[in-house]
Amino acid sequence: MKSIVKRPWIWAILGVALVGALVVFLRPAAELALPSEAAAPAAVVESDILSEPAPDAVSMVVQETPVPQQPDASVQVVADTPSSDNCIACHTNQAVLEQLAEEPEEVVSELAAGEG
Amino acid sequence: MLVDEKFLDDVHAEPGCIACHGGQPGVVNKEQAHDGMLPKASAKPQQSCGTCHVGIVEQAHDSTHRLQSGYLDVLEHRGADFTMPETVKAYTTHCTKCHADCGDCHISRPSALDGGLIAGHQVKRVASVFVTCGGCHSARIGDEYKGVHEGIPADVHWEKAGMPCTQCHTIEEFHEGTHGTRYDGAPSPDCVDCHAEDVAVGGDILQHTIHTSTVQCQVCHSAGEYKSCSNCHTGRDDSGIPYTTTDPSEMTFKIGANPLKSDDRPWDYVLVRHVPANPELFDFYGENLLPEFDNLPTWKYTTPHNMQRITPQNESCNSCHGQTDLFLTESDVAADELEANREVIVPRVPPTRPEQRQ
Repeated sequence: MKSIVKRPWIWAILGVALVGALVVFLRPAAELALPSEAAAPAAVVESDILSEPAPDAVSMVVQETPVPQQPDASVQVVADTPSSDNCIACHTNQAVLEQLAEEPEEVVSELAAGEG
Repeated sequence: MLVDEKFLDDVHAEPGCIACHGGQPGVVNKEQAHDGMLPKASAKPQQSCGTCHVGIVEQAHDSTHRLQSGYLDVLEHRGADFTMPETVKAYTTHCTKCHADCGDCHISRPSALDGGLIAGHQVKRVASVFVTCGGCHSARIGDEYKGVHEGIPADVHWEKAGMPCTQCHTIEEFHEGTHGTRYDGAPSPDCVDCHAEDVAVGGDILQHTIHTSTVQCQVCHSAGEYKSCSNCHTGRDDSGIPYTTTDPSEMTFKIGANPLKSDDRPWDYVLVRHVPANPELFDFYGENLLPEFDNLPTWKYTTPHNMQRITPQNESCNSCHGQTDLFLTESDVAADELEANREVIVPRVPPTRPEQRQ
């Protein structure tokens, strides 16, 4: 055993073998660490994105809003409290109200006098 | 009628508009949508407010604010016959504008002020002192309380303590049914509810020991003149539009004899003010519709809301004693109203005191 340790050519063979093993082991890791370099050219990616139709904000909202089911005409449903949606739609909208409202004519007799 | 969107988050919006106001769901045409709608939902309180607030609506069913029992009581005492169509016509045309139901206090301004929402249909649990209470009671109460009249200070309860109406007047007073005028029965509120120690006989204040059982609190503590009205007439003009006329109001301070003397109101002297009633009040609608007009005085028992601790008439004994101008005497009363006012005219002004106690 002592004689093998003392022979320098054995150490040289072991060193070459170790370096070779390291090169084989580290090469795939280096490829994984640099994916952008391996990706397709930027011009190609941009072209692909632009070719897709842009998302429509309105259609997105519509898709997210549940669509009310059409009532079955053959089934008559009597609600406890009727919907007031139409009342609210007008009576919270000042512009609509101004269009629709009829101001009652203020009627005060010219003969009225004094404190009521 | 513009509704504030904040109202939609209120619990009162949960049943939906139609639950209280009626109308037709599911139609967008204005006329069709409003078919059968009740603009003033609380005109039928059992169907609107009363579906949730059962007890309060039952309590308020006969309230003075709703039924105007004070008006009816006074007119009946003056001989009004409400089985006569002329009397009913006159009354419903000119007097019922002061009627107040739930919405008139908690949602809208009073009809007498031409209505309108207080806060975008939000429901105010405690009515506004000046918009609601003052809307009807401003000329003869609110203005006194706030010190609007030149030279007359505001009521000390407002000036010093900022007390709203609801601090003395309880919710039962507003809601509960009463029959007759607001002065029937015991005073409510009563000054002694808070000032019992101050007015106790044998207490620190000699004047209270002397006067508490004979002089209404306001006689000494009203800070000055308050408003009197006179000569109300009603009718319709050539176009059929109803109108009322009154003479310009006057500022008066008069101590009269107590027309409501009772165990609850034992005083000999009380303050009185002239009310706008006169025998011809309803003459446009029919002849002699108040045939017993003189049954009640036109100088009426009153409680001005301009109280102060120190007043011109309580500075010394002789600030009041012997001051003929402060008392309602025959010379203050119109000749044609003398008979109606016999019981309130002071027969003899308390004489000047020979020695003043300080």
